[in-house]
Amino acid sequence: MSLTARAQRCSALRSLTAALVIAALSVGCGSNGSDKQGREAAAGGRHVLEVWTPESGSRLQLVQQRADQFSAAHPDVKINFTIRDFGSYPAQLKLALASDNPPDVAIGNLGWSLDGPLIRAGLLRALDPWAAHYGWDKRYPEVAQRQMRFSTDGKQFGRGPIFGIPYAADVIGWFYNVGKLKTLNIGVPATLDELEAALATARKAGEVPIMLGNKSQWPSLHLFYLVSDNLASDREINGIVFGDRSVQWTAPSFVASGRKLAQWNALGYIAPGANSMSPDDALARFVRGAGVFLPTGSWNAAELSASMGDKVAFFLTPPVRKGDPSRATGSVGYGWHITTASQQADLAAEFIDFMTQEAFAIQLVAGGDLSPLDMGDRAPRMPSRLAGEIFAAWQSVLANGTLLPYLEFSAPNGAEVLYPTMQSILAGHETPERGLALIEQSRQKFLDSL
Amino acid sequence: MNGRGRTALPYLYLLPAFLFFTPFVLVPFVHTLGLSFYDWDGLTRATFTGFANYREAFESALVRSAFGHALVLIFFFGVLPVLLALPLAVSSTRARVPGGNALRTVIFLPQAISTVVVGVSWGWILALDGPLNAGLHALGLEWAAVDWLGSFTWALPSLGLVGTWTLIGLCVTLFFAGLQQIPGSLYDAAAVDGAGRWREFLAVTLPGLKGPITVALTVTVISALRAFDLVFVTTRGGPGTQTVVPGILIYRRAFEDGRLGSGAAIAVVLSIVVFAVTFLINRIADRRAP
Repeated sequence: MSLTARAQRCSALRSLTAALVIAALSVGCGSNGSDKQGREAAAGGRHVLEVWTPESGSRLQLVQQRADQFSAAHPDVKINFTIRDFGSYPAQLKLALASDNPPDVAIGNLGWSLDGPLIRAGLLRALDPWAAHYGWDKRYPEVAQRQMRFSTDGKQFGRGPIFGIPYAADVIGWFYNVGKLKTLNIGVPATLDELEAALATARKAGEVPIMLGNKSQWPSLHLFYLVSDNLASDREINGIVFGDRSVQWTAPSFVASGRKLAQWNALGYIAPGANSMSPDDALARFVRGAGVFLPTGSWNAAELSASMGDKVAFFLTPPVRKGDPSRATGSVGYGWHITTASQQADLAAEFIDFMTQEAFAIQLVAGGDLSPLDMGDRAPRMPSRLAGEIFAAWQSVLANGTLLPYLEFSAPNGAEVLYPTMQSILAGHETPERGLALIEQSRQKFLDSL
Repeated sequence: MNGRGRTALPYLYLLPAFLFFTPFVLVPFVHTLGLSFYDWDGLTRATFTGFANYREAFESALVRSAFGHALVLIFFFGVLPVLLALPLAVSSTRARVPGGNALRTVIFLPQAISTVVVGVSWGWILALDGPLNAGLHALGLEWAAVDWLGSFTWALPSLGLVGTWTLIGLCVTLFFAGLQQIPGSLYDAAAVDGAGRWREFLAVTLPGLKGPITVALTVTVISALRAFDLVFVTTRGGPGTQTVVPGILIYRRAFEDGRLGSGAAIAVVLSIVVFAVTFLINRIADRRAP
């Protein structure tokens, strides 16, 4: 049915009585038979791959461009994107996957934030058969790959088959104002102690050492990573994230990290008013010249680089002992998934392979973003000095195996317990011991519920 | 026949409202009630757990503190606006100021603004370097300038006062309308009996405003208990959990964490509290009837 015919029918219906209009619209314009029929009609017998994504901005643009190239190479395939905003995406995707009309391919989110519940519900496929065929299992370093593994029953994160294929990545570190560092006569710190000395110097000079937009509460946890990555062991951090009960949040290394955070706040290193400042606000202030350091993720690089040019630079938290490799929290972001309900899984796998090849990675990196691929010397020219620094930092943690997962992937209820408690610890409103015990209690409860 | 028709007629009048009420209020409520007895992530099979969600809610310090915060908000959203609106309404009927109507419109205006806009605006006003603190600095009160919405001590009262500001206009408008209904003869009688202003207020005005006060308290107390949007926009429950209210917990558990049963249980408890409090307010008002 053409659009105008459909519109005419709708407008005819509108002239009926109020009750009839409501009834008729829901039947006449709403479902219009089943969506599947419409899908086939629109495609004229071609294959239509239904794809869901929460991406936006330049990443979305690149994803769509790449999908167009796929369609160009496969004239009988039409890619139909459903784009939802990041905030409401998890809830909407769950509904779509549980509906009678699920998509074929969907981008997820790591760990218990989204992938876990979907896999537990049997809505996503283990990708092992295709992984071997396309070489996905050898494409990524295991530290990165592990973030896409789940047991087949969906109860165990970090081990088992591969459930998602990543295409982009992120890492958390310190952006800094180059001019201010020079004025303060501070070099890029080579150890954690040097970093703390730099914070003290900045404070003494009347600068805001750490710009932080903590209204969203999770930024306090990201600041925590920058310390705990260097005080806690691989086993401890991976243990928390991947559900190892022998490791607990109350471990001395995490308590020490929490204490350091509270100490930094007590020493006046954190921006005044941070608790009522949004992350966007903090970024804007940093761009305008407030704050020496901005601890945050690589996803802010494009904006910072665009507005500050070479006046902003980046480093990972320096190690405790000089010369050790830097350790950092980062992720392979989101994975491409194939839904259990898809009737065209092989086509979906071919699409996913195309979307994650090095050609896409090169486009991504050339735009100042990160790719989960170890690109070696095939990396493209960097769009800015900042992008180059972040890319080098990311490649170093991949190569050294010092990439650590986000602690928030350990349970789905970060917003209720983890983030607010971490904010309280940072503010000195809660002791690290008591706060971390509270967080551990909530994690245990979640693990029990699996 | 005639008698039977008479008994059916009122129900017939109620039917249209009932037809809308049923699918949009009654069915969802019963559904929520049912959900609250299950452990359900919205995806896998739900398991019946009896009162486990309720037990968890009552045992949880966070849930209890959320209801505690709602009680604090009742004071700021309900009690305070009523107390402040009474003298405002009474004095505005007495003194015929030029532009009185415009003034009343301005007082009512916050009620007409979307809560999100209210939240964003006040977030800006109350910021550490916002206009309020700038004013305090100008007055030489630097010591009093704090990060209002980011302070573990002041966030909840600040949020409460934003609610006071929003709801005071509604109360003034209700009371103003109520005052017009009080017969002038009662005031004349009071004057003849030699009642002073205060005596007149207690004997004539206050009893005459019983209805509007009941309505105002009911509406504002409900808005305090179900507060969500203002909190979500201004503090998201923070800092820490200082401004977490039941609505925030319901939203997070039901829509973010995949704990629909738990969210539903809190929602049911909240509904019961709302029913109980409004019942109480109306009951007290009835008992004081002359």
